Amino acid sequence: MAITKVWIEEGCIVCNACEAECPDVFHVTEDSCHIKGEARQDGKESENREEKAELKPDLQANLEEAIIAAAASCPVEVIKFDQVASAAAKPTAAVVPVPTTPATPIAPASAAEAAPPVSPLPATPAPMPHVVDTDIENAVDAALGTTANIRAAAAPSPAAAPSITEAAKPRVTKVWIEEGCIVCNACEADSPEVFRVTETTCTIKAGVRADGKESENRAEKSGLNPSDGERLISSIITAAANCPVEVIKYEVIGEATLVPPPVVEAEAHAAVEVAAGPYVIDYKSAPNRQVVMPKTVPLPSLHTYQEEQKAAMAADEAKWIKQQADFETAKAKALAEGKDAPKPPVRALPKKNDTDMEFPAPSEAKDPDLLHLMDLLDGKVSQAFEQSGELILQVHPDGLIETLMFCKGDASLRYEMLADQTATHYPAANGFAFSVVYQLTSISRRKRLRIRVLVKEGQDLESAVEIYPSANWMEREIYDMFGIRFSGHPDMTRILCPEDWEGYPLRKEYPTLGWGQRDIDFREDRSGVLMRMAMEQAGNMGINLKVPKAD
Amino acid sequence: MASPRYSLLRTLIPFDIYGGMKLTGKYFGKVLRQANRGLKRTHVVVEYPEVPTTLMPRFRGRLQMIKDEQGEVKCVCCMACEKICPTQVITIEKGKKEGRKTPFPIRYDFEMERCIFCEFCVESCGFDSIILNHQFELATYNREDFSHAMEGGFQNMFDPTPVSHYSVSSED
Amino acid sequence: MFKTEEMEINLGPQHPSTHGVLRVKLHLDGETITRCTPMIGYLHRGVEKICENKTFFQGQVWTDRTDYVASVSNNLGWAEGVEKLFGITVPRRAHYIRTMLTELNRITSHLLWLGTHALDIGAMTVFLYAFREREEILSIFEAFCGARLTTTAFRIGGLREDLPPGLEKLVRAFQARFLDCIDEYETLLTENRIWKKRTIGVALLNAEDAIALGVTGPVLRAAGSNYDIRKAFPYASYAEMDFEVATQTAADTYARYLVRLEEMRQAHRIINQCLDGLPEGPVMAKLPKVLKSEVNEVYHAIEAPKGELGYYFVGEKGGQNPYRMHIRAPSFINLQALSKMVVGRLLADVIAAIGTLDVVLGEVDR
Repeated sequence: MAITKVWIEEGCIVCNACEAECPDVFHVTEDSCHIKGEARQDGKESENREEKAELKPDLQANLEEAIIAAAASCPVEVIKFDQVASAAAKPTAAVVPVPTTPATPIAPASAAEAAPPVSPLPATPAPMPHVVDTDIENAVDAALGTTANIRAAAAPSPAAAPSITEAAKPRVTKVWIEEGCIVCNACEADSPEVFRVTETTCTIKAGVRADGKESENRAEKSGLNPSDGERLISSIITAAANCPVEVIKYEVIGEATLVPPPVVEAEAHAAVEVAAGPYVIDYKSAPNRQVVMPKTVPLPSLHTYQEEQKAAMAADEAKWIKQQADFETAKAKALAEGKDAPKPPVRALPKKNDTDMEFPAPSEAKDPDLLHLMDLLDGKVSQAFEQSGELILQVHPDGLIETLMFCKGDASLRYEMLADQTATHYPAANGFAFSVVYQLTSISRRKRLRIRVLVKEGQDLESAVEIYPSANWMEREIYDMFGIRFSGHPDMTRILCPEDWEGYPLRKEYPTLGWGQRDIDFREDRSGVLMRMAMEQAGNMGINLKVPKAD
Repeated sequence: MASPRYSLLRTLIPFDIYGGMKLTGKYFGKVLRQANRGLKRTHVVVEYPEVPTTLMPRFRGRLQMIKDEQGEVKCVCCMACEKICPTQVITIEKGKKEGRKTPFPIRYDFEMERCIFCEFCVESCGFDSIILNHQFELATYNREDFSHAMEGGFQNMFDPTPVSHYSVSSED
Repeated sequence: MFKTEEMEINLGPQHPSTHGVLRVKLHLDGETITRCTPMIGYLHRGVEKICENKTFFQGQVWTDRTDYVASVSNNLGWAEGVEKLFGITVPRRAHYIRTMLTELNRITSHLLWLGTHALDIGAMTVFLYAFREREEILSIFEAFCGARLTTTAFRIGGLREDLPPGLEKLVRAFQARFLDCIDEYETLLTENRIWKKRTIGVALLNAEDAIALGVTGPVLRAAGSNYDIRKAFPYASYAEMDFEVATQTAADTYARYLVRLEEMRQAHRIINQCLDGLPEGPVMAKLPKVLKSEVNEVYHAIEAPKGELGYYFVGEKGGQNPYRMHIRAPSFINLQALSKMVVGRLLADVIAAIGTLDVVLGEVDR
């Protein structure tokens, strides 16, 4: 798939949304939005409404996603584009209009099986034959009036939202309470006919159970009376949803599977075991706490910067040579065919910077302090440069203590204070995992210097506490947050996190959402509005899912 | 340091304590003289909630949506506020409405319990369709009352939250 | 017949004089302290981790919540750090307004310190006087940016808006009476014999130890050093301002009190200069709509009311978020000196020492 043409129709409101999504193609001026000249074959910059010039071939495939995102983000939907199946095929005239109603992020049916439930009811496990739940989803869709068709196409259920009385009558076959009940009385408030909360535990009442005993029903899993199971379904579901620790589990069937075969029952049971509650214990497997690991190593250095600049210049030169060669062949072809010669290519000038922003490029070390230190530490300095008006000296880990001693003790350096010490995690780097930086300040000479050391995973650094006592807590913080140990430190323990904390929080593989944090799918139902709508709709159908409130 | 004789005098006569007492007495007398006499008040205590407080024009209160003169919602769903929000309390769903060219927000949720009132959303809005109003008495009894949306049985995005009667005395 | 043993007690984390949730483990021999270990981390929220997952624009709101009594200073550190990372030149008018607000914020921070510190030691009255003036400055912040405590006052590249009409009048009215107010605090405390008994010679920390332990701010300046980042590495528009660095040589709690009072007077001077010399012009630099960083790392330090507040940024190529952000919190580093100050002294001096260090636990734990 590739996008060959992009243009902007009338009605642009200059909202900058497209430039935020795809700055390579769109440029928003004071009164209109343009397709940039750099992205176009003809090199002009305009709305591209009349001419409909094609995009450059290298951009066609690369920027496809960004352009589609920009078109979707346009509030007035004036960004139009041509999309073809492959770059090789000839561009067709088929305009792919932007969908007028962008679909809410709903997973297709196959993905919904694997993904955790996206249903508005937080506690109900999805893979079960869940008639009530499906109805509520449809009710929500009907209420919103937007997603019903999508869901109807995806799900095998009937398209129209059937009311609960028309559909197969569902009932609860089993209710049991797993371990971990905190005796909070929430379930008894919701469903007093089924649950009884005692001093120490919560039980299923004898009156509704088939075997007539009263217990937690955890081991035996005896069934409910069929009439009770049908009558009390909504209150049981509500009670399970309101349980703060999610220990109330239940099984629901419809009329078609009134007497389920044992195999199906076992499957349903297994599904309940797998479905995770709102508290995710295995935080690494939860879908919304997957950590995106960085792919680059943003370690500033003069050497890499110079190499990058050289490579960029070489690429620019090669492009220019290719442009000229293309022009020559096109000219020869045009001459042979007797047509007018094409326009000669114009070399693109470097981008003019009309902002107050200028990247502070690194430069060679000229400061006498850096030169002096490089003399003193011959061979142990990896690199030294200046950037943003700061002096940076990268040393080998073996020479670190020596460097710090020189910095403090040398009469011409006199860096008395270690102002700051911290580390950075570079998981994508080869040969090292962390950089540790020491910010030294010379109070008498009004100077700052940064010492940088690269550390491997599991490698110990020598502690600087003997030279700079202020390193004590800072090294403990680095150990706490990154797991870098400092040998010779008087008290190498965690400082901010508790002693039994697992993992090192500032490493890149550590998720932002932690343990025990409530697993809310923010995008799906952030404020609980869908849940409330579902409750209202269910109330119209005669099901009471409302939580009784004090007022 | 003062001479031993002088410091003995200072020990016997507590000048320093006297200075502090004099300052306290000055303010005490000032307030006492003005109390209930209709004079210009110089003391700084505000008798909130009996007397409503004055707020500065730029005060950052609760998020509120604005309608234009025709009663139309100004929001065109550019999602700028949703993107900029540091705590992600805004959820917008784009939709269509009969007789309206621009997109219409069929859902605009604002979850106040996590809002930090930074006004980044208002700053990012290019259509002046949202403001932070001057409401600061936002405490409620139910957690659900912190959810705001455009319609339905929850707090409305277009009006101020009706909570200020909790903190304003109803006796007078 | 009598058995003597060392006693271990916990001060905090809910003790009112620990200004939040600081817990200090003390070993006592009678009433003399033999060992002192501050235990921190009760307020750790992972601000650095959060900011790595937010854009440069959004991250500023978390700096309001580290040192919550000096949020404008934190905003300034964040904004200037990011500007240094990107190489942004800020208009001169924005610099002046920033300087003025930061100095006002220094006054609020010192006033809060003065009130609570005096309250800890036993002087009740000055608390009310200090908070009277603090309210007025908070109203100025409210007029400028709409919030009193969590200000989010500045933007990357300048300010969101220019000064509102009437703000200059508010500031001038405050300036006109503030010097008299400082004299009132001095009347209540400076010559007060109880205050002097509780502070003179208490919690000593000489300059050598202070520099070795990384202690900065008024605590260092009360020991004789004149290290002030506003003079040493001028930022914002401090290079154009005429002010003196307040120093004392006694290195005790009383000297730090005098230094902070003098700093308020100097802040008053700087605010007057900012108001008088406020240049005309824009308050926001011209910036691209989406800020994308290059590979760079910077450390930018400013003189916050509590000491050297540094922001360390690492930028990723094309990244809208900082790859790594670290806050060098002055309270965190200064708190290291607590055990040096109190070992060998009496238990009651710990309260004075915690107060004189002026720690804010939101900043210590981040």
